[in-house]
Amino acid sequence: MLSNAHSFGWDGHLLLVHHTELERREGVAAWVGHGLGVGGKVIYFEAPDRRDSSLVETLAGRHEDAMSRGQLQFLPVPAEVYSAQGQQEIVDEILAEGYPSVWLTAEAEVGRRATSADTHAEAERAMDQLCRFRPVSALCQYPADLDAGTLHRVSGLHTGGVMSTLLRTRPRPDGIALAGEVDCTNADVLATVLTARSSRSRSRRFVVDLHRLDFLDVGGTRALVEGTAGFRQRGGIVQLREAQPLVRRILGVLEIDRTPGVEVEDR
Amino acid sequence: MMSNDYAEGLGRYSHDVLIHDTDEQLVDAVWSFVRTGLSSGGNVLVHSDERRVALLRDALGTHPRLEYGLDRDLYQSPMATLFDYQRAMRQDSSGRARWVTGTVPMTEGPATPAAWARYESAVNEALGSFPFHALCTYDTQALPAHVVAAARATHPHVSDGTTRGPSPDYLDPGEFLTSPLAETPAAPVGTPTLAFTLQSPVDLAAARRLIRSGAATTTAPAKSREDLLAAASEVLANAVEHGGPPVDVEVWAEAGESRLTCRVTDHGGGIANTMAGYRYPDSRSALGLWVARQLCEDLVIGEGPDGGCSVLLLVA
Repeated sequence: MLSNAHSFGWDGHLLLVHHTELERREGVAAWVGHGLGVGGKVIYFEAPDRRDSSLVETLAGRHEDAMSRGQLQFLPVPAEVYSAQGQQEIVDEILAEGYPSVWLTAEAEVGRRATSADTHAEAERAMDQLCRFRPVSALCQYPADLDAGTLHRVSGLHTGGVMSTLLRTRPRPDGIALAGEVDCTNADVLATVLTARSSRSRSRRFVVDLHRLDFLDVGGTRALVEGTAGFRQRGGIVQLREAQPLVRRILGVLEIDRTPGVEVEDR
Repeated sequence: MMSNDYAEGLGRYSHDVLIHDTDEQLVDAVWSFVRTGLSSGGNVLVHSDERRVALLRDALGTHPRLEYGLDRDLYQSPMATLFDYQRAMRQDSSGRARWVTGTVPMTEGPATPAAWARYESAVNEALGSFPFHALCTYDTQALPAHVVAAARATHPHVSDGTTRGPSPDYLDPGEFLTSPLAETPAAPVGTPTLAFTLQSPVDLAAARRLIRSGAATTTAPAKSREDLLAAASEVLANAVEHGGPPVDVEVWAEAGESRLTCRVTDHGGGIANTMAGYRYPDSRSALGLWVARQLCEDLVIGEGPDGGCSVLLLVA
């Protein structure tokens, strides 16, 4: 079953963080379903030597029509994907076919094996730019057991936010919005995303919009505090906004508003 | 006449009981307690019902560090009151000890006298590390004998305001929970409405969905249902991370009833401390249980059938 986290906006350069194969498939399937639903062309890039067969079967079975008219394609990852110019050409070509938007996804592992770490990071940066200025959504699939340093770097490269079974994050001009649930299984992801996002904030105030967050536990609350620690130490104020009653209660019991630099704004 | 020895004998924390049968005994003892508190530089709170507050105010007068309060404002439910005191102590930056005297209003409100007796016992755990002094007054004319007997078992010392000595009937908080006086809640006898097993933290979200759906059939207020859900999630996370999987969850939620019970049983090494979660946590792992205690009406830690730890959570 999918949580609220999945219906939180789909465009941009997204990071899919998955603990299990099932989570990865659910996330990809939901994103593919949405891309096709809005009429976009969806391309799943696979490793040249390894077909992601069971996911292909699932998606092909679910979207038979889209497969037959070429709206959904599974292709071996082309070398063009690793350069800014190559990415632009792929996008231009698809838009020239008459599709309103382009949806690209791959496992990060595939790229990391095909090219050097530097080239891969450069490709991620280029894709991030492309997603900001063109009708493109790119979903990069990463396992959740990345070390903290890698996760920090990678989440900084995906400005569309993080998507996982439980949690969805979305940037907003003055901070970040959260949807879904945070518990001990994804608190580390939240802390990393908050650190990456708040460290880029040039304003004194960083808003964390909680109105679509259905659940937060003690570990998640700690992530809110620790993920913004650097920003607050530099004099920034974190504003936790519009928490639902259950989340508000946890914030209250933990006296989060007494943390230096944290404000809890009630509805 | 009061001696300095009396004040010094109280140490940093004291939780005494006065068992009296006249208003005169009450006023004498409270007067002594308040005077000791004020002269040692403490902040003093005298609480009771309207009649007694008027009586005590006449006898004690006013002082910048003396405050009067009404039970109905301070004692709404045992756990809320307990953690309110703890929060107030923690946030107090005055450097002064807090002195409190009054009667826990056992026979009013939804909580049972036994729930308040468990509260009195837990005070020793939750507030024992703070500069806190209490003289709890029990009127034998107004209270049933078993309530007075429980008071003797939950207060380490018996006092009349000038002389005090160890209560021979005192039981450590963990011991008190096993005494018949505590009437410690047990799981309902019937079959649970919902039972399932968790293997790892990845199952937590699914467990929350199940508990939420089970709770929705009851007439428990939304706030109670959500509180139970949040408390259970903390206990479950502890059980799968620090206890030992598989973790069994049972929920009793009768349609049309407001009572909601959840039991979490792990297969780990068993109970470390049945009073865990009362003290303000100094380690991260204890934080979840400390939060869970504040969200439930009752949280009872016991032993599971296979030697693991079993935690019972209740709201009504």
